[in-house]
Amino acid sequence: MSTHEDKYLNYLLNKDQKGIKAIYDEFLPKVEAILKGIGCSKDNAWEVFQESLIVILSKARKPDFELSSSFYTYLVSVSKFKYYNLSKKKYNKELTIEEHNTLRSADDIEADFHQLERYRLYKSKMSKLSPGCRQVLELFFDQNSLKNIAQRLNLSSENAAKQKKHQCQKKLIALIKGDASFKGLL
Amino acid sequence: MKITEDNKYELIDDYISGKMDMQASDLFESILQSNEKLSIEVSLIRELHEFQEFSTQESDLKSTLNQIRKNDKPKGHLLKFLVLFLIAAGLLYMFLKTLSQDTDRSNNAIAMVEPLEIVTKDGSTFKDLRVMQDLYNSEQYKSAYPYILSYLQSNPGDLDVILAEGISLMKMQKFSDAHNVYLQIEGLNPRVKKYKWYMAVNYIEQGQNEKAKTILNEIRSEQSYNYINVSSLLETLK
Repeated sequence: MSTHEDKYLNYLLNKDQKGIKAIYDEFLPKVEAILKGIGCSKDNAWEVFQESLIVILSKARKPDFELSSSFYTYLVSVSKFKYYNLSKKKYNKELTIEEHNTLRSADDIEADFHQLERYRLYKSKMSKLSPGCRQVLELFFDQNSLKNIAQRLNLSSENAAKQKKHQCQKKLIALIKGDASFKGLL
Repeated sequence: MKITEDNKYELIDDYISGKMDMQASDLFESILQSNEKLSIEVSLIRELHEFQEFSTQESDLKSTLNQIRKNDKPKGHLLKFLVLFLIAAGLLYMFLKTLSQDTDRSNNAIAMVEPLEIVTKDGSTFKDLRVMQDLYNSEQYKSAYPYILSYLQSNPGDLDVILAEGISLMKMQKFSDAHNVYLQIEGLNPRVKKYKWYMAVNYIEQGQNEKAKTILNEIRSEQSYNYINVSSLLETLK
């Protein structure tokens, strides 16, 4: 990936407000024009633009990720895919052959959107756990040791933290796997 | 290695965090290969470790974007001023329109030039792929043109890049050459009728509105590429 294109990914990764504003100013009007050309409203275009940047952010976090096209080209591909998907969901509209042909790397992008949907599913299921369980798991997923978790949550021992983490993790995984949408997102 | 409901998550955690010794890890991996359910759980737990950090980053990005958008919207008195300005501009436009029919009517159509998306198709065989894309996407058509020709020598059937050749020629005001490129695409009988839109735009650029209208009407009846914008474009061509 060239340093020129790196800069946009770094803006997203580093929460660089000036940089994100530059992305907004430079690319939103262009993406909006393209999406309007395929029937998208202005409000939906904004939603699609936001979601596409979030997908690119989730991709950019992976250490092996490399942009194989310019940032703009990638953003347009992701946005088009998101729009077609949104139309399908909202209006039950199937892709025409023409629309299909404009989505060249759809498989990859579909996997990225699925991952984002899974993340959101995890978040919603976490919120269904008791506050105690949420705390233990948040600390655990944040790479805290069981000893540290026990100290921070005033649990009697490392073993108690281990037991609690085990119960909560099991509950969370059952909630996720029990959701009707989970299988479709794999 | 015996995996039970009681020790499963402990083993998965040890495997993911790298606490498992190499021998146990190899054994665990061989079990994963034949146990799809377990394999899904390992991926799920791995993602659970990732999603939390991502969740914070996502919220930050969303709030930054929403803040930018909020600041970008005109407010209060500025909005009133803008409305008055737009009314005045509209009246001026209508006045000028009656004086002259030479208004540039094609700007909207030209704005619909899409970026090239050829990366996944070509892989890495064409070394200047990125240069070509970036020049074309930044509307430097004259500079992109030689790269496009060079690419087409090794990929003569890539319809999108042939189309980009036509668009570049059109932008360089070589309308007749551009038209021939669009005819070449038509001859290849593609299922995607994108070239038709640009053929119409090419006619508009030359002031041949009647020919453009014929093609635009075809696009509308076939509901092919950009048909949604045909009506508004036809309106400007009256």
